[in-house]
Amino acid sequence: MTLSHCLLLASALFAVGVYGILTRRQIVAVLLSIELMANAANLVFVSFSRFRPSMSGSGAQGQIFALFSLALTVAEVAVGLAIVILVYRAHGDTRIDLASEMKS
Amino acid sequence: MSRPITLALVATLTPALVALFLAATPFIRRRGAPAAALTVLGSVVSFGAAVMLLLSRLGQTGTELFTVPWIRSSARVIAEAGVHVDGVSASMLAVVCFVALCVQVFSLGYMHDEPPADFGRYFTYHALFLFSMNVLVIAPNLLQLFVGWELVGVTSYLLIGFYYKKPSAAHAAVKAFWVTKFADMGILFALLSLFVATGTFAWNVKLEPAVATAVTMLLFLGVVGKSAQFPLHVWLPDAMEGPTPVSALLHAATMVAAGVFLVVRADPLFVQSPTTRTVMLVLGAVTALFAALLALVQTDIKKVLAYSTCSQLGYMVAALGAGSVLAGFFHLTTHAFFKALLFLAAGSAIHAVHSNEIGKMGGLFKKMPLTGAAFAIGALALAGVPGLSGFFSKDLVLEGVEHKLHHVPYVILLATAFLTAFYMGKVVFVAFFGPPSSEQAKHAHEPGWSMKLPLVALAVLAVVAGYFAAPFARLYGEPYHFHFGVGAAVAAALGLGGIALAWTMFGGGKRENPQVMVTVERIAQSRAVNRLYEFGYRRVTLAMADAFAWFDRYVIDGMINWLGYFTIDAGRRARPMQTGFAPDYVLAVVVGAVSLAAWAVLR
Amino acid sequence: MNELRTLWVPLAVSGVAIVLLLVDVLSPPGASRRWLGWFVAAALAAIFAGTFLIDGSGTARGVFEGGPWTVAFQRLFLAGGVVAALGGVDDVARRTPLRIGEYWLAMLFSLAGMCLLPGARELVFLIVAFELMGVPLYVLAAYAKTDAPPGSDPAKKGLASEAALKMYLTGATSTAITLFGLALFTGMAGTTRLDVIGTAPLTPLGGLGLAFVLAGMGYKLGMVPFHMWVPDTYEGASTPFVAFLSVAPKAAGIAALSGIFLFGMGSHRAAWGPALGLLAVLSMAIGNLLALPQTDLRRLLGYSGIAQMGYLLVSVAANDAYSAGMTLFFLTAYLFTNMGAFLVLHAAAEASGSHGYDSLNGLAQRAPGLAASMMAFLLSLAGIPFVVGFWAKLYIFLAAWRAGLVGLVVAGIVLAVIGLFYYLKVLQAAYMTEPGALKKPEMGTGLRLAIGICVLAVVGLGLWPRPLVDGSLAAAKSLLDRPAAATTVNVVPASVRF
Repeated sequence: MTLSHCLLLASALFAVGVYGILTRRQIVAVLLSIELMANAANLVFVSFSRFRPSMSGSGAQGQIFALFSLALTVAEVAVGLAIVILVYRAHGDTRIDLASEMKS
Repeated sequence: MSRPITLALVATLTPALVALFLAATPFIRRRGAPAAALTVLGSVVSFGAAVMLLLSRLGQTGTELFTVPWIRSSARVIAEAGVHVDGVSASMLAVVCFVALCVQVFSLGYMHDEPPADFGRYFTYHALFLFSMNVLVIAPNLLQLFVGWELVGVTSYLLIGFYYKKPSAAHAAVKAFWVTKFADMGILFALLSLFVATGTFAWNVKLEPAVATAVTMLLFLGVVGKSAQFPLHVWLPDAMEGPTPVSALLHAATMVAAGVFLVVRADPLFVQSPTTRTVMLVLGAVTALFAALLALVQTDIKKVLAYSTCSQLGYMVAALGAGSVLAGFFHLTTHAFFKALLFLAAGSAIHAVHSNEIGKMGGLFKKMPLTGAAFAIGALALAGVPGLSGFFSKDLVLEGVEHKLHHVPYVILLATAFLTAFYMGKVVFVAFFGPPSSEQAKHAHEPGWSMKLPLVALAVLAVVAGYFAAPFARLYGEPYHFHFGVGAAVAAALGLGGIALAWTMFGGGKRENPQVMVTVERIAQSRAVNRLYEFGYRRVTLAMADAFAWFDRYVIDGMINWLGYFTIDAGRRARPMQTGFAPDYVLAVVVGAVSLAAWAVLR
Repeated sequence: MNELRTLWVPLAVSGVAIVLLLVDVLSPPGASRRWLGWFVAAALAAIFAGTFLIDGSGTARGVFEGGPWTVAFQRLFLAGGVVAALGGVDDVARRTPLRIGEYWLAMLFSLAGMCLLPGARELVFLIVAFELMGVPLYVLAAYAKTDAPPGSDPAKKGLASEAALKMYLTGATSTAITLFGLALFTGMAGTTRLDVIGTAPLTPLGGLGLAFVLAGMGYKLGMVPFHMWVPDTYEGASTPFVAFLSVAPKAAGIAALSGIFLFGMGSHRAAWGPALGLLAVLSMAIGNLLALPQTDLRRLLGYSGIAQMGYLLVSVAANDAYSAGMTLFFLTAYLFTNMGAFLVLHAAAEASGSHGYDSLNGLAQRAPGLAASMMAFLLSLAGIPFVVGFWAKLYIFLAAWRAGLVGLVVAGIVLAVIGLFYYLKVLQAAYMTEPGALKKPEMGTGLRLAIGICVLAVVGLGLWPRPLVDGSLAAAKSLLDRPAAATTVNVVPASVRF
């Protein structure tokens, strides 16, 4: 296992996530895809930390960053879910095409 | 600052302050009388300063100069403003201030019947004029001279169009301004060429012959306009729409003389171009004759005097062209006195008879002896009758042109002298002698003291100014010798002869109209030159203007409008890009990010 | 202790937030919480004044630096916060009387995040601060929930949720992209410190990461093509909040961008400069073009903001201290101009029930002062002398010209002309129409004060920009003109090149 493998996996995850946000109809599914993308980022952080610990400091820079990234993402998702509930209350469903009132 | 400089500045700035003050205080200006008093007072101060300056210059040579930097360009001073005092400017200043004062005092009576607001406006303009003319006279370089030049042009416009409610007056003012403006292009180009060639606006510079000719020809173009030479003379007769004192001051004595003054000043330049001088000589002579012919057939007394002015200016221009600058300058001075005198006296007559037509006058000498005497003195001086100032100055002019160009201009000018005497005689006999021709003429009476006093003052000078030729020449810087030679005798004879002829035809109430007069009248009535200009204006200039206007409206504006519509349309078309569908937004983000990344990697 | 002092502004803001939270929780349920908005305004003003008295310079463990650049931005945010608080105090109290406290809380937390950003010298710190700024904004965008603005079409309820959703989706995606990019970039660079990341050569993978970071940050700025949420969110959220949203996060985004690209990667300008330039041109073009056919003035101002950011990015792309200073100046000018414009729109919309051009009908006759203020703001946006917007545009284009970005400047000027058209169209609606049935807009004291502050700033700085320009230049110089970093990083071994 090398850095390249891990990076490829992370990129694949990221791509899947992108596919998800572009094609899924339910907002929660979109949120999931976003999570996937963020986790791909975390994977990259950690892989760099594992395979190239030549960073300054303790060498755990990537892992630290990954932890912070996790926390950020969680906070973001929390708010996101709250917005999903809002949409549900407004339209009765959480399909993403419901939120298309405002345009051009 | 030395005393002469201070005096010159006082003479120039006093009327400026008056004008500024009156312009800024409508409530004082509109009362009329205070404005007049202030202006006249200012002119008295100016005149006093000018006289003191003149006296202090007697016996002096050399120049006093005072300048301040005016136009700067990145640390270099391009032009200066200030005062240039020498014999020429001192004497001109005195002449201008004197005539202006006389005219202003005359106006107190002449314009008395105007409404107070107009009365005040009139005098404000007069103050402005005096300031402008003085700026021109004391200018240390051609640029400031041009500034004064333009200013007097503006003042002339304002004063010609004083009765702006009269359409003919308004037209005349515009015509005057338009024609002189056209000529002023010449001066502008001359200044530009001068600057490009030498980097200054001074007149005492050495130029290449070709450049000198170009510059002086262009300057002369301005002179042709300002001094109403053929073919740009057309505005002067029309300018008679203005009040008569204005005609006396601007269009006889001072403003139109500015052209001559310019040539006197820029003599060092004109010396370098014999070509220009030749042109001046020819044109001056032609104008003199042409205008004299036209003066013959006028019935409006002011128009006679206007054409006469034109003709006399031709004399001056011819003298200058012949290289006799002193002669031209001297004639300018004497002409200022007797022409102003003639105009004011005419004004007095017009005031009495309520008409400009000599046909409506008649026998005025009996009713208005002072006016009549004044007019007669002026006429005699103009005719060049020996003893009066005109004789001396005309003689100098004739002497100067005598040997140039195979005597042709000389002969022309002699013929013109004869005609001048003739038409002036005609006017004198028709208007002042013989039986009265109208009711008003029967009841004419002398004007008040404010109108009589200037007449007397100017008459005195019209008589004696000739005797001061020597000191005048000394101020100019040349020696003067007077000798009563053959030329003088011939000129005198022609003058007297012309008067005699006039007497035979018009004396005692006769009104003969010889064939020559009829022919000339027909020519005058054809208004050929005027029609030519009209054609040029209407058919050529306006047509070009219309073409450009069309181009501007349809092509240029069209392009701009099209650009505008195109942009708005583009905006409208791009609008659906914002679909409102959230995944599209995210798609845009992803596409953007991926494109950036691709670019970063592939670069 | 010294480190805490450099962080005193964000700490103070957080302190105010905590006090607010306590007060809100401990107050009896029925008590009026209206005064909380005033409290926030006063507290932020006090902190603003405090920045002149307390010197926060120095570094906190190399992660945060509190120099002139940081302080300048913090003052900007605090001023924006004061204006937002004053402008929104009545609206929030009226619209959502039960949730006033949380509104101000969210705003304060966002502000705290903003105040941390300009001093961030380390990427983890930066991204956390960035998110701290961003997440409460989603909350605030959704604040009106399913309520419809007074007088507007009842069928159009739920717009706030849609606005928030669009903002959130693009935002979350951008965050994810940013994180991924940061991961790649810091991995390849081997460090997260901003002063060190520029010292190593930029590998392709690192470049890709950097590109993702740029893309992610672009969302906050409203840069094309990450801008699509802007018009909808500006239309759906409450207008006083949108006033704040239109300026402060953008300034914070520029601070972050400057930190990473100017301060950090300044020496690698060839890598990101052209890309930024292209994005700038796109923003100017799309922003101006799409603003033209708008009928809702909030959307119009939204697109206008996109275009304004385009102009600004030209200056950022210039990558020198002078440009950075002028960028800061522009942001200050833009803050007051845009907030003022939105607040005037808000007042007019409240009186007329619509947000279109007709809400401004006859404003000059109904409320001359308000119309005059609007004129000042519009002229400033259009870049017409002599309000501050003119100087701002002039200086940023001048800075870019001096740096050699002639093409961008020309494009900017040409596209800015389009802007004139719709700004003047709004002005025309205010001045050359009849009021019809509309009455004078009622404005609470807070709103009046807010608009007044904005007008004062726009006109005053327009007449006398010198002090602010000098201050901005000095701040920029403190960031960018400094000796090179002492630390170096381990260069990537040849075998691991990507």
